[in-house]
Order: sequence, then C-alpha cells, then structure tokens
Amino acid sequence: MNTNTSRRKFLRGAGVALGLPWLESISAFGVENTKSNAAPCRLAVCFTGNGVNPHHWGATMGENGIELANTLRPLEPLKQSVAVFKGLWNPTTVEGEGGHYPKMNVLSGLRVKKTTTDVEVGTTMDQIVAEHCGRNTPVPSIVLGTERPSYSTDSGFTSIYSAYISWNSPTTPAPKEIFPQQAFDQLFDDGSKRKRDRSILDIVLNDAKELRPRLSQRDSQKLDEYLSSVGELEQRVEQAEKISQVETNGQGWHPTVKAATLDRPASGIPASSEDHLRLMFDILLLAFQMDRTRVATFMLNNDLSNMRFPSLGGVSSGIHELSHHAGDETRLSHYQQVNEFQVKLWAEFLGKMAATNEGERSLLDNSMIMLTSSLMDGNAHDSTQLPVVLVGGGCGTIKGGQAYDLSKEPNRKLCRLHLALMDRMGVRLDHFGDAENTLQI
Amino acid sequence: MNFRLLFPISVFTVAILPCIGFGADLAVSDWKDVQPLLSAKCYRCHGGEKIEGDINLKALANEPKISEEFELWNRVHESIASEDMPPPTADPLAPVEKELITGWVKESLDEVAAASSGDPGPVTMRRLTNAEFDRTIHDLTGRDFGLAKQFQAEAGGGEGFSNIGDVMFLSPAAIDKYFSAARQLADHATIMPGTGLVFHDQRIGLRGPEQLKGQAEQGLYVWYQQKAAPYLPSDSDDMREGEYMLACWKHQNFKTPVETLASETGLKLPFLENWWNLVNSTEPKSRFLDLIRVRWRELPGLDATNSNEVPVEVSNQIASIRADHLSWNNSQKAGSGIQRQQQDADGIRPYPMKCDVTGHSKVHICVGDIGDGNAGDIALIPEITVKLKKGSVNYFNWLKKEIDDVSNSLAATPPPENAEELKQCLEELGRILAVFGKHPQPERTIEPQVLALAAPQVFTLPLPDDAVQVRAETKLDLENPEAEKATIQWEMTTGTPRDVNAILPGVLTIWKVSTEAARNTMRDFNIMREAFPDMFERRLEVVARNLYRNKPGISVYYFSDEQLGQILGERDRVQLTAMKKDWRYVGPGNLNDTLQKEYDLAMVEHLHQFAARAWRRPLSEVDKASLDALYQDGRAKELDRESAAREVLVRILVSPHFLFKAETLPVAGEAEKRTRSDDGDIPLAAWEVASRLSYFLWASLPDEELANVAADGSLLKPEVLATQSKRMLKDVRFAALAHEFAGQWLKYRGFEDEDGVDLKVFPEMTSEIRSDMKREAIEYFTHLFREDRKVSDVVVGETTFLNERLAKFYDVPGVTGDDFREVNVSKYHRGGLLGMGAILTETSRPLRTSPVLRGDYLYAVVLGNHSPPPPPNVPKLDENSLKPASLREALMLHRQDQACSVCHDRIDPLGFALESYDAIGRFRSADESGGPIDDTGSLKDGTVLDGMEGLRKYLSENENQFNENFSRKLLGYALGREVLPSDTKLLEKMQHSLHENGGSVSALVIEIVTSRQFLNRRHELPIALANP
Repeated sequence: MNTNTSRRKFLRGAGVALGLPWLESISAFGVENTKSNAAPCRLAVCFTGNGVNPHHWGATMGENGIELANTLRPLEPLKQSVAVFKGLWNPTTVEGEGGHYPKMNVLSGLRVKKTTTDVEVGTTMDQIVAEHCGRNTPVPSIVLGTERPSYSTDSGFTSIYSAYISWNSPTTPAPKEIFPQQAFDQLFDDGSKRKRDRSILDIVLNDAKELRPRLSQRDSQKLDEYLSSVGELEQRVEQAEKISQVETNGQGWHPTVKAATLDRPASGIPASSEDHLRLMFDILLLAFQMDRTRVATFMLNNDLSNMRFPSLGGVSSGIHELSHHAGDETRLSHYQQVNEFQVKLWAEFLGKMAATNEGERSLLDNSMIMLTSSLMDGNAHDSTQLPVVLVGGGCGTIKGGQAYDLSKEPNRKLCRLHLALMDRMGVRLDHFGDAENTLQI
Repeated sequence: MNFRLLFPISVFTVAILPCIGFGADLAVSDWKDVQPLLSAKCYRCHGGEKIEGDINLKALANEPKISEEFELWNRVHESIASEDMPPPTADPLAPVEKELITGWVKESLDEVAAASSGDPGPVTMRRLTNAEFDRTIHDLTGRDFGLAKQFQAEAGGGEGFSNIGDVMFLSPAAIDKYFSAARQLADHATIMPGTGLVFHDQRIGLRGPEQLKGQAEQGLYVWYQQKAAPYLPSDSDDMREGEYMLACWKHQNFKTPVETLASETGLKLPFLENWWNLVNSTEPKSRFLDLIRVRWRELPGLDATNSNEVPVEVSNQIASIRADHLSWNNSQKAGSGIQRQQQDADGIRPYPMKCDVTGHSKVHICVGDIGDGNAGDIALIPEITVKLKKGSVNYFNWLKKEIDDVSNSLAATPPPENAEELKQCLEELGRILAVFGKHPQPERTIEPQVLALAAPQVFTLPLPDDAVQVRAETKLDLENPEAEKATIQWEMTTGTPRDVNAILPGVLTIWKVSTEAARNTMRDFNIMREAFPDMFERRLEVVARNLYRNKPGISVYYFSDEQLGQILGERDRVQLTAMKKDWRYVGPGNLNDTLQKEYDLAMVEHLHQFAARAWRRPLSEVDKASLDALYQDGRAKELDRESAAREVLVRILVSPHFLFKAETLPVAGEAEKRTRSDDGDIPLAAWEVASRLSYFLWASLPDEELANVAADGSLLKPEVLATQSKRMLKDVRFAALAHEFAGQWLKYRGFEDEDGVDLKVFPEMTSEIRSDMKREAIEYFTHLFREDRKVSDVVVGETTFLNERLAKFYDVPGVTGDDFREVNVSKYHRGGLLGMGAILTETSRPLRTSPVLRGDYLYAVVLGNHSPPPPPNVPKLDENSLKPASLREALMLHRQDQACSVCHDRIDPLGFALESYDAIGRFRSADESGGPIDDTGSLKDGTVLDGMEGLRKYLSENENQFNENFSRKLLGYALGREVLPSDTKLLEKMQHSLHENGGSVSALVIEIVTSRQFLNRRHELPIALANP
C-alpha cells in the first residue's frame, strides 16, 4: 500500500484544510496546460503599505494612448504593457473603525476580524492560485517581504495584520520570507537536503497523529497546521522529484534560464533598504525565469511601515510617518520621492522581465504583475479607492496601454479584478471575496 | 436571524440562564430602564449618525451582551463615571441618570465577572516562541546557537505578547526552518555511548571509527591531565619522600590510621596510600624499585625499650634511602638526571667518569655488575687524565714516570731513609701498571696504556700530590664476545666505595643496545621510573595513562580514578565514568556481538533521556519504540551509530512534542486518574504545570529539579509548588521576563535593531549608545525580577543602570568603566522607566520629540488605558512640520475639537511633561528650534504636571493603576491569552497580595502560579471523545 496515499487520506479525514477542492472547471483562457509548448502564466502582487500620494498617481487616456502620472513615470518604456485601474476598492474596509488594520484584506476582500487572538482575513487569491497551479512547479508560491511585524496589539487588533497580504487559509497568514538568503534557498534548493528529512517527516507526522486525539478541538486546529505543513513539505519533496524527471524527459515547455544566475545572498538583512528591495526583486525575477514558482506576493514594506530611505537625500522619516504629511509641502515631497523610488525599483524588475525572452513572448508578456496598496491617500486613511496597476500580458490575454476609470461604476470591487487574474491562472471561480462577477479586461 | 428578538429579552434571558452556564448575560433586569437613557443621550454619536471612538451602543440596543462586550461596557462605565461622557457639547446626564447608568453597568459587569470567576479560559495550544526556542535549545545543549534568528517573525496577540497560541502559525517553510535548525544542532553534537549527547561550538560532522577512537582517547587524556594538574606536586615542590616513608613506618608499627597520619602531617592522603601500597608491594618486580621498597621493609621495627619513639636508626636509614632515591634525578633540573638518560644508554659512546680529588691521595674506580652477574661486564679505559693544580698529566705516563722516579730514588747512593716505604710504593705502582694493557680475558690484546676492568671490582689509583680532578674516558668493551649480556655501571670516588655487587643508585647502567640484557634491565628500570616520574609533565601523563589501565598504577605521586573522583566530586566522577564508557566501545577495533548490542543500547538510552528532557515529559513505551526504530533504521541503512543517533536527534527536535507545549485532555480509561476539579476544570498534569511554570518564569524548559518533582507528581502539592516557584524566582533564568515580558510590553525588545532616528541630526546616537540603552532597560528589569523589587519602582524609582558611556551621554557624573551598575540618578532628572533613553527615543520622531507619542505611551502602554485610534475625518495635526512652540499651540487647538479632546486631553499633558528630553533621550534646556522648553501639562481636572518631577508625583499618586496594568500584563503573559472578565477576582487578589507584600513583584508571580487559571484548563472534550 502506498503510505503517502494513506497519509493524505488521514489528513483529509482529520479535517485538515489542505486548501480548496480541486478545481475541475476549464479556464476561459486555457493557459493552464502543463503539456503544451506554450509558456505558463505568472502572477505576482507587489504591495506597498500606507498608500500613495494621490496627486501624482494614476493614468489617463490621451490622444496617443495612455498617459502616466508622475509617480508612474518609470513605467514609460513599458507603457504598452501597463493597465492602470482607478476606483477599485474593498467595501468592507470602510465599515469599521481603524485606519490601518481593517484594510489589510487587499487580496481576500473579506472583513478583517477585529481580534487580538483568533485572526481571520480570508484565503487570498494568490494562495488559491498557488493551491491550484503550484503543483506544476517545485515551489507552489513565494511570499516575500522586507519587514517583521511588531509585537503588541493595537485598538483590539493584533499587529499580525500589518505584516501579511497573503493568507493560505482564512485564519493563517502565509509565511513571509524577509531574509534574502532564505528566500533564495527556499526557491533554488534542489530538494536533496529534504530527501534525508523524508523518513523523519513520516515519523513526526505520526507523533502528531498520536497526540491529536488527546487535544481539545481548539488545540487540534493548531496541530492541524503542523500536520498540513509537514504533509505539504513531503509533497513538495515528491513533487520536486517528479518535476526533475519531467525535465529530463525533454518534453513540453522549458524555461529559458536553467541555472541560478544569482549568487546565494549573504545571511541576514542588507543594511540598506534599497539593496534589500533590489535583491528580493532579483530573487523573484530568477524564480520566474527558472519557473521555480509561478505565484508570488511581495510586500515592499509593511503597513504601518518604519522603512526608511536615507539614500534619498533629506528623507529621514519612516514611510508610515511620511504618509501623514498633513498637506505639508516638504513632507509631501518626501512621500512622493519614496513613492517614485518604489515604482522605479518595480519598473527595473519589470524591465528585466520584458528583456527575458521565452520564445513567442517575453516573460513579462507571460506574466501579470500588480502593484497595489491598502490605502489610496495614506494621510486620510482613505480606502474608498485603491491604487492598482497591472503590468504584463497574461500570456496574450490582456490588452496593455489602458487606463480604466471605474470610479463611476456601481460595482467597482477589487475582487472582480482578482477573479479576472485567477481565471487567467487557470482558476475559474463564480465568486471570490465579495465579488460575484469578473471584471472584463 | 437572532431568535431572541422574538421574545421580550429580559424575561427570556433570565429564564434560560441555568442552561447556558457562564458566558451568558446575567444582569439585564434593569436594562429596560437604562436603554432608553442611552438611546436618548448616547446613540446619536455612538451608533446613530456616527460611531465615535469605535463604540457602537446602538448595535447593542436589543441586548447589551455584557459578557461578550465586557471591555466596551467597562469603558462606558469609566467614561460616564469620570464625566468624560457625554462631552460638554452634548446633552448632559442628570446626576440621577448618571447614577442609574453607572450603577447598572457596574453591577452587570461584576455579576458577569463573578459568575465565571476563575475560569481557566480559552488557551490555545502554544508553540515555542522564537525566544523560547533559543532559550530551550540553550538549556538543552548548554550553548547559545541563536538559531531562531531566521525563523518566521512573530507578532503580538492576547495582551500583546508573542506567546499566544492563536497568533503562532506554522507553514511548510516554518517546518523547513525547524529542520534546518535541528540539522545544524545535530551537526554540532557528538553522540557517544558514555557521554551521550554533547553539543559543541564548532561543527563536528561525520566521524569515522578512527576519528571516534582518536577523539575519545584525546578527550580522556586531556581531561585526566587537566583534572589532576592542580593536585600533583610540581617540579619545585618538596616531595617529602622521607616523611611519607616515615608515615608508612608509623602506620606499620604504631598502627596509626593513614588518614590520621595524613592530616597530622599535612601529607596528601592519596599519596600516602600510594606509598604504603608501594613499599608493601612485590609486584611488578623491579630490582631498581626494590632499592626503596625492600630497604623500607628492612627498616628496624619498634625499639622495645622505647616503643613510643621512632628509633634513630629508622630515621637515618630512611634518610639514606631517600638520598639514594633522589640521586637518580637532577635536583637542579627536573627530568635531566640519570633516570632520564638511562633510556639513551647505548654502549657505543664513551661514558667518562669524573671525580674531584683535591686533598686525596687515591681515587677508587668502582665497576659494578648491578647484581645480575658479570657476564660481558668489562669496562675499557683508554685514557685517564689527571688535572693538577697546574696543568694536567696522562695518568699512564705519570705512573710510569713515578715508577722511574721512585726507582731512581731507590737506586741513589746512599739509599734514602724511606727506602722501605719506597719499595712498597714501587711494588704497589708496579702492580697497578701491570693491570694496564692487560685484558681480563687472556686471549685479548690491548694497547699498553689501556685499562680493562671486569666488574665487579674496585680498582684504586694512587694520585699525584697536587691532583685536583681525575677524568677517565670509559666505554663498554664491545669486542668481548659476551658484550651482549653486559649490564655494567662505573663510577669513581674518593670516599668509601659502594657495593659493586649491587646496583649503584644514581649511576648510569651501560649495555649494548638492542640486546636482551638491555631490554630486561630497561624494563626493570622503567618500573621504577613509572613509580617515580622525574617531572611534573610525566606525573600528569602517568595519571592520564589510567585510560589504558584496568587497575590503579604503581605510581606514588599519582591518582587512581577512584582517588581522583574523591578529590573532584560527583560531576567529574560521572563524567569520567562516561568518558571511559565511550572508550570501552570505541577503543577496540572490533566489538563482539554482546558489546555491539550494549553500544546500541547505550546510544538509545541517551536518546531517550534527551527526548524526555526536550519533550518535557516522561516517554511512553510507544515514544521509545518510535525513537529506537529510527535509530535501527539508520543502522540498517549503514549509517554509523553517531549518524543514526543524529537522525533521531533531528526527529526529536522537529516533533510536535518538542515544538508545541501541548496540554492533553484525559481520554477513555484515564478519567479516573485525572478527574475534574470541584469547579469542573481539568487539572493540568504535573509536567504540564512544570512547563507552564518554566516557560512563564524562564521562557525555557523545566530544569532537573523541577522535572523531578513533576515526575513524582509532588509538584501538584501546593507547598511544593510554592517552594519551586520561589526557587525559580531566584534563578538567573528569571531574567527572561526582563527580555520577553517587559521587553514586549514596554516596547524596548527590538530597540537595538531599530533605526527610527535621523543620524544626520543625531550623530550621537551610535550603535553603542543604542545597545547601551537597551541594556539599561534589560538590567533594570532583570534586577526588578531577580531581586524581587517593588513593581511601582518602575515608574517612581530613583535609580537606573549605567555604564560610563551611557552615563556620559546622560550627563551623570562618577560612573567609570564598561560595566553596568545601579546608580541613583534622581538628581539628574532620571530614574526608572521614564528616564530611560530607549523609551524616550522609541516614543520620538526621527527628527524631534513627540508629546503625543510619549503621552500615548504613558497613557495606554504604561498605565493601560484604552486609547482608540484617531477617528477619520478629523482635522489632521501635523506635529512634524510645526515649530515646537507652535506644536503645543496646535495641539491645544486640536483639543478644542470634541472628537480629539477626549483622548488628547489625557494624552498630551503626560507627553508635555517629558519635553525636557530630546528625541534621543538627552536632557535639554532648549527645544529643536532653540526656544525655551515648556514641560508643563495640565490635565482635565486641573492637575498641573510640571516636568519629570510632576509626572513622577502624578504617577506615584496613581501607583495602583500602574500596578494593576502590570498585573494584567503579567497575567496575560503567564496564561497565554487575553485577560478576561473572569480574571477580575484574581487581579484583585493580586493587588491585595502586592499590597500585603510591600509591592514586591514575587507576590504577583505567586498569586498567578497558584491560581485556578494557571493550574487548570477548561473542561473540553478531547478529539478522541468528541469525534468517536
């Protein structure tokens, strides 16, 4: 008998949420096909906390097509791949009090539970996609960031909310990697290290099984996290073995970059936040180039972020503090500088993707890379609309060079866009978050 | 739909109460009177047009939900009682209305709190926090590995701490990191049959059998030497051989116990024992050693006429034995005497004899056969040189000339007066000359001037009158066919010749190299050398060679394993036994089946012990079998034993048993063992209590003593629990609370890694100062906990902890050096938490101070008041862009806005009082723009806070509020959950106890650890019974 099968049976029997049920429906775009010779679609959501300067954000359609506002200028060379959305939002974020935490549902659209203990945000769209198409790559998804959460609770919310945009169950944040070296290892490890761990994984799974009947319902949920994590790790080892077999078969599409073109980063966190961001972008780029994963989120900084950019002359405060500029010109200009700088780094990353040839199209053409925040105007804690920019062709399914103004639309839910992106990743859902139909793009 | 809406609320709720149990609303009887009042006076802002302060009373119009919204009602009570609400702009409450509302709310709250008082509450299974992981690994391994640095970051839950089960998540990546950490630890471990699991700073990695053997040997060798060194005589020490021999004689003849003799004379007991054994021994045989032991045994006994005294003869002979013994060595330079030279004796080189002869007319050449027969024992002396007062002569030439001279004198006419004498002299000289050039073996021919002497004999030479020294080149006669058998000694003396039929002490024995005779004699000699090594280093080595012995050695200034154990004590005895056990299994190349089995069993035993410690509970048979199976699996896969054991080690450390602090519920068949308490709770098992205690107080696992009282169950007895708690409060590990509890609560935990200061404006904020500031806070709270100080010292204390650098930074004189010490700083505007640089910096903006941040810190974090987030759509206050003086004005203006004043009226004045400290915590007399400092703040009730002093006065008046918040936070940290209404009684008890005990922090700890909440868990069904 295959012990792995029986273990999975056990996991399911134990009521472990291993994710959504397998989705059998056919994607509207048919890009999900492992055996085809076409390159797969990649999805990444980049996030910056504390909003943007609304005066210089956005795009309009002019006579010669899309015209980018100041902050988005670095995207100029790629503008035929850019779609800027105006007016999208998550309606639940304005229901309660609190300028920050309740708005950290960017990718789930569901209400953020006010609690200091049993957190809940909802499973986020990237993790649903990862659950589905993560089986085709050695790593289902990578969740990157740069800052830790703080200890403490505030206004009845735990500080966890400020540090995560990806949740792999309604109540569990997907672990975020802020150390470049560990992100690198997670993505580019060949699985040999884990092989030795396999027999141990089996045994500790058994430990948990023996412990479980003696626990309370509440405690068993924590143990189930352990069970599913261990189970998933085992699957990854198996998967890595399978994938490496497929690779040697020589059939189907192959990534153009075969081996890491980046040295393993030094341990610890780079001293300058600029270096840190660049390195994480490079790791993400390589992961997509080598098809180590197809789904990613990257928090350039946390909500309520203290990240500072001393290299930008004269800007000394942290991002959160800068966002509360109160209309002061100096501070607004600092805020603007940071906004522009972040977009510039993002655009560098996108430019490298555009320069990566994957046959018919570039890597960027085969991708959908979003940049968003949990607030529009950070100063006013305004989440009645959110900054949303999407770059990349989604394997030829997205028309670039567009500025969409949805602000007058009756239904301008951000989750409609999520549905559109998920569809292109092969996950076709009738509804997601608070949205019940897909945004046509 | 809420079915309650269908019924008149009050009647229905009261009616079904008994079925619901705690958690239901008890006091709703007067709700119908209170609700209309709230509706009229409060709903407009709280749920109607607006939801001010995040308080929606209108939503509770149908049902007040006291227990669910306990904190909200608490705030309603506080703000109405304090007349913060309704605000001046709103319709006021008449006194009777106020009374009605507050009375009802208070009573309802009290009832809810009382109904479920002591409820252990919902505690979700906790995983080790990152800090707990590192501390646990430290206590398990004895070393700091700091592996959790790269684990997933943690956030705060419950009362704001990371040790809350609900906010600790696991993921494949986290498991992967646990694996990496465990592998890293395994790589730093040696796992041996005797010493078990030992962790090292350096990576050990895979070791082959030769390495295992070599390292075990080396380890023991070094250990012996290190341990014995302090107790062995050094080369400059008087070895007191005579006194030891005398003590042995007394022991034999006076029957005085050796212990008495040793203590009376200051001789070392182990050495005396060794001497006694030596002088009475016959084995191993050694004629060289017999020079001591046989001669000691031949000492005279008691003098019959004076049996209380040591006969003089005994003392004399002992002195002589000692002198002979010492002559083997070089008293000027240890390790260079004959004893050392003997091993190099080769019979090829000449070994000259030398003797000072001033004033002597004769010298004796003594040629000894060391008493083993004289076969081959022939010495050849090619030349004898006599040094005279002036010049020197060749003895053979002198002898011939002397004979000539004497002959001439005799031949003179008339014959000399002493002719007879001269004749005799001539005869004598002739006889001596005749020996020259004549080999004892008649068939051999030698040069005429060569002297060949066969042992044993004493050959005496007359000397010239003015002879000063005689030197004779001497070598063994190797051409002698019997030279193979030679063992010969020679010496020259002017005194009485010693017995040449016996060993001449202190004289080199000459032999032909690589002969049986040489080997036998050297073996014999070596036994003496081993008994009395001639250097300190060799004495150490003799002890170290216990490693190869299975019984004590014969040495005297030496320790057997047993003797060493007696000197060193239990720990070292255990260590030695363990190391020798390692050696027993890894020393020999091949092990028979029995030994192999023993080896495996020993390895598995150690893994069991380690697992029981790591898992913080006794192992079940199932646990053991599972550990053993993995070990055997590794062996079957041809892993060496250590590698197989390392796999088990990894497995132990990634197991849920290690990572989670699970508290299990009784399943079928256990119900009788763990019954519910009178309150319906499930008491924790003893080892679960032990873990709760140790992780609360130490943030680490139970130590041996705590584990022992958990193992025998006695920890559950109140008196044992109290004793253990008090003991643990005294332990250094109690400092964990300064890092984890106080550091997280008061927000200085990550201070050294932060960068919230603009270094261009404040270049003085060096990383050293930053780390000193953190250390100040850590030291302060470490002392608070470890020395059981007053809780309220934190806010009103007059001291802090400084080193020279930080003292200079603060302008506090008289502190020198790098060490932190307690300093009374009341004269320097500091003392306790409020004056700490870390706190003052943490609550500042990068460029300037922030009265709002500081005020909010004091108000909400330190004093524990509720501080809601700023409501949306208020006019934004920009404290950064304004000049300091206008900032105060702007804040004042801000407070005129009703929405702002509720909080800012309370927060800002507290922050203003700290305006005399700049953004990096230095005392200052001018603000950022050079303007004068205004550090006064007035509270709503008219109290004026005048600077730090005013603030301290205010805090000391409000000491109880701080104490309450401290208690609340400590309880939340201890229980790993939010503090609940049902904890109200316990919090009151803690306050009472704190008061009774002079404010000491231990009073709070004891109340917590003996509380129902701490020792029990809620009665819940285990999964096994819930889903059969």
